[in-house]
Amino acid sequence: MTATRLTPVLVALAAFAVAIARAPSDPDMFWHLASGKWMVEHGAILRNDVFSSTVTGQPYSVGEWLGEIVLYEAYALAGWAGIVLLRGILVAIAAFFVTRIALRAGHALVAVPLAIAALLLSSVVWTDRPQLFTLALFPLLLDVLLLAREGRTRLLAVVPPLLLVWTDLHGGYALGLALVLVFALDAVIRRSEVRAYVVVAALAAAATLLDPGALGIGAAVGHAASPPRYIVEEAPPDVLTPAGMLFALFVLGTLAVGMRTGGTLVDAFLLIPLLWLALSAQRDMPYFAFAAVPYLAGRAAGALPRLRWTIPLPAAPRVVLPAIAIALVAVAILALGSVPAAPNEAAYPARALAAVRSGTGTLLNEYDWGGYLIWNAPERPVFIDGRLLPYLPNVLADFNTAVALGPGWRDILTRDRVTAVLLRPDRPLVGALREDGWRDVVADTRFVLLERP
Amino acid sequence: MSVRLSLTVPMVVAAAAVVLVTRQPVSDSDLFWHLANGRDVLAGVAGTDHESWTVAGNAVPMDQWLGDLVWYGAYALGGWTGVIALRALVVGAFAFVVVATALAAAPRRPLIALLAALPALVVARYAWTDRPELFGVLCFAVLIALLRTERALLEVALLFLVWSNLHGSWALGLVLALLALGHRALARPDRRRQAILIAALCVVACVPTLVREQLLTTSQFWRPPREISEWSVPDVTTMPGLAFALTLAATIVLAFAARRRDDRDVVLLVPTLFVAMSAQRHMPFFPVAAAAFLARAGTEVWERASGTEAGADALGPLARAAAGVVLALAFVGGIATAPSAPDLTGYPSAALASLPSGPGMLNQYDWGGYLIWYAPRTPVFVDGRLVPYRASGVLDDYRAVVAAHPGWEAIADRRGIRTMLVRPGDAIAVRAPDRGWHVAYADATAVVLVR
Repeated sequence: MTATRLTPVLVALAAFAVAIARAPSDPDMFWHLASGKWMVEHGAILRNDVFSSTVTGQPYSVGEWLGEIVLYEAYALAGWAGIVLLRGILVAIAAFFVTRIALRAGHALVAVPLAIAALLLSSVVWTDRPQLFTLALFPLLLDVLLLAREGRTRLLAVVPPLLLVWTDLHGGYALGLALVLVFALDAVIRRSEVRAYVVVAALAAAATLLDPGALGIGAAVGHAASPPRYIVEEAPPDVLTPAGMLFALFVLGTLAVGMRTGGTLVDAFLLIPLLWLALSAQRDMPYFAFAAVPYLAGRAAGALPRLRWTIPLPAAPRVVLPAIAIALVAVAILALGSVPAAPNEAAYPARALAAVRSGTGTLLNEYDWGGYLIWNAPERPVFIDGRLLPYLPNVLADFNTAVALGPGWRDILTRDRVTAVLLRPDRPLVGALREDGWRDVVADTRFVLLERP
Repeated sequence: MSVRLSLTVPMVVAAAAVVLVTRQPVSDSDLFWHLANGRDVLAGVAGTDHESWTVAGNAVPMDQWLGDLVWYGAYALGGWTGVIALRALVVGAFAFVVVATALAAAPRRPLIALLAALPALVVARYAWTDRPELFGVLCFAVLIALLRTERALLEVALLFLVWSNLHGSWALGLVLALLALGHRALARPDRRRQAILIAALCVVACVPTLVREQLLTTSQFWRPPREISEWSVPDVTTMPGLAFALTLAATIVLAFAARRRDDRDVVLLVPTLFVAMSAQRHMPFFPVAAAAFLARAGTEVWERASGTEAGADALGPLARAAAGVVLALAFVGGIATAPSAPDLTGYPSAALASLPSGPGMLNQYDWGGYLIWYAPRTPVFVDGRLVPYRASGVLDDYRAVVAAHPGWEAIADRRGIRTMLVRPGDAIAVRAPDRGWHVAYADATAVVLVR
């Protein structure tokens, strides 16, 4: 195996080892798991709310039904370690394809660090949710489309089935469809293999319409155009944070390299929409970086004429690559031996679960803890959780008004017959309810469970 | 390049900007404390706080003392109309400089130059507030214009002598100037000594502010108060954010498409882009820096695509004279018909009579500057000067009380808060009456609560 072929495997191994070191902790993972479990147990797609007290029975769809089932099956198969391993595999797939694309575009000394930087940036979305499928499938599809553009047109045959599966896995399929359309447009402009690209784009678009419970393309695009800013990952990138700084380096690099060496039409078609998407929400930063990697890897050397690699680098001893390979395999095996077997509950009110389960009446819970409660205390329906869509606009507005003591907060608690609240201790509502005589059931520095007297 | 053309078009655009900007009444909440500070500078009593009761006697930043003085001078000379006249003058000058810079890069294509300058005018529109920040945007445009020329290096140093006392954005300007001069020193060995000398002069011009303010500007840049809207992250789903993103997209597309390369573009645009991405208030800097590049690259791409090359179709002296008259008329007419009083909608004007004299009142953050100017007998708890309040913990206490966080009553006791002037929708306006505070005044804008 040549170094060019082996390097993506090695980077994927390293990414796998890093990805499986973290215990599951994402708040949304829990409701995705609960949804997957419900669908497996009932043999049907979940189309109505069964978890909340506020929108119970109402129809909703977040799409991603297949992604939720796969996530739950991983859990059913190997417990929390199954979730961690699924994450590791999907991150490794992303790492493999990003590195492969980079190496095809430019010199390894530039390509590999760029691929690693993009993967580091992508770690902001290494959460145990269906969006991990998009993280893996985006570079895979990009690789297929780039290879097809280089002449391997037959590879386009995998695109429609890929989109069919992706649509059911995660709402990010819209990104994949956009990618296909970009390359189809490029083919039309180049007048090369136009028919193949147009047919594939049409089939891919049709494939996204075939699934029974996906998020519609309109909803997916609408979500991207107007992201809910109160969710951290939907906030615009902050270049003064480490991840934001890394993203900024990709943007600045693209601008600088573009000004020094130019670019092609397909570079612009690919990078500009992804840049807009990344600027609109930080969860989309990695996709711009993934697409920028081949562009930067291919042109960085030309952009820095003083550092051009005109002199061949001294050949590394033959043992170096096998040694790195063996070391990485060893690290991956060691990492496999210490896969976290339990979720990290440090951010959750674990000590309140028993009291929550045994209590009665409506519970007003912290937004971020809704999924955790759905999974761990299914006996007590939640007021709100990270599924968001079914709660828009009224329940979310009521939640925000109540916890921040906005005008009418007391009416909301009365109307919804709230008998207990499980919130962070610094919420204004906590102080007000204590002053009104609600009693502490259980509390620590992270949470307070109060009950109406 | 035609000198006549380079003056006529910028003058017409400046006239349009002047007309537009004089329609807007004075309303910026920070203007009022800037005016008060300018008055203090004139009286020789600036440098320590005597507007608040929470940080009274503490040192306050003086990095914008000259900007405050200029704004106060305009007010002293012409009242609120004087403030609008100064705003119009600065905005008109800004529009003129930006368009002239773009036109200098594409002298044969005034329409493309105008389109290239448009993003700067649109994004900067949101910075057209009556504050020293406005001077900063103008100084930045002037700096870019100077750095784009081969001459005028001494003027750069002179610019910093003024800018470093007008507004904190001089720090970005200094970094850019040093990079540009460094690039010139590398690219032009015959000019190396001159570039190094000018760079040294630029630094020397900023030293007094650097020493006095102890890197206040740069520390604020790296730790921005995100809770203040203008310091929040650029958001492409807002109008200014969208205009910024479109400018960035156009810049990248033209960078890909253009064949003529100029390293000065990289030196000026890349660092500016990073700064512009860091906070909404910094967004205008990028379109300003990019205007000349967009004009030059846009012209090149257009002429290549259309296969045409425009001649030097300079407008005649009559057109230049007409543009000058239009600009003068726009300025005089704009000022004559400008709103003569500030727009105080959104301020607690009707509640002023209910405010007590002396210390002990907690006020809404956004109204601090207004109260400093309109209710000087009631010192404020907090206001838009921000820095002294962040350092002393006043801002944290303010947030805890206004949001009625657990323990707010203890903070009110510890601080000696006896009165609160807040919005009806603030949590404390809802909660304090439950806890025995008396509503002394209430309308749709403000509530006065008395213990």
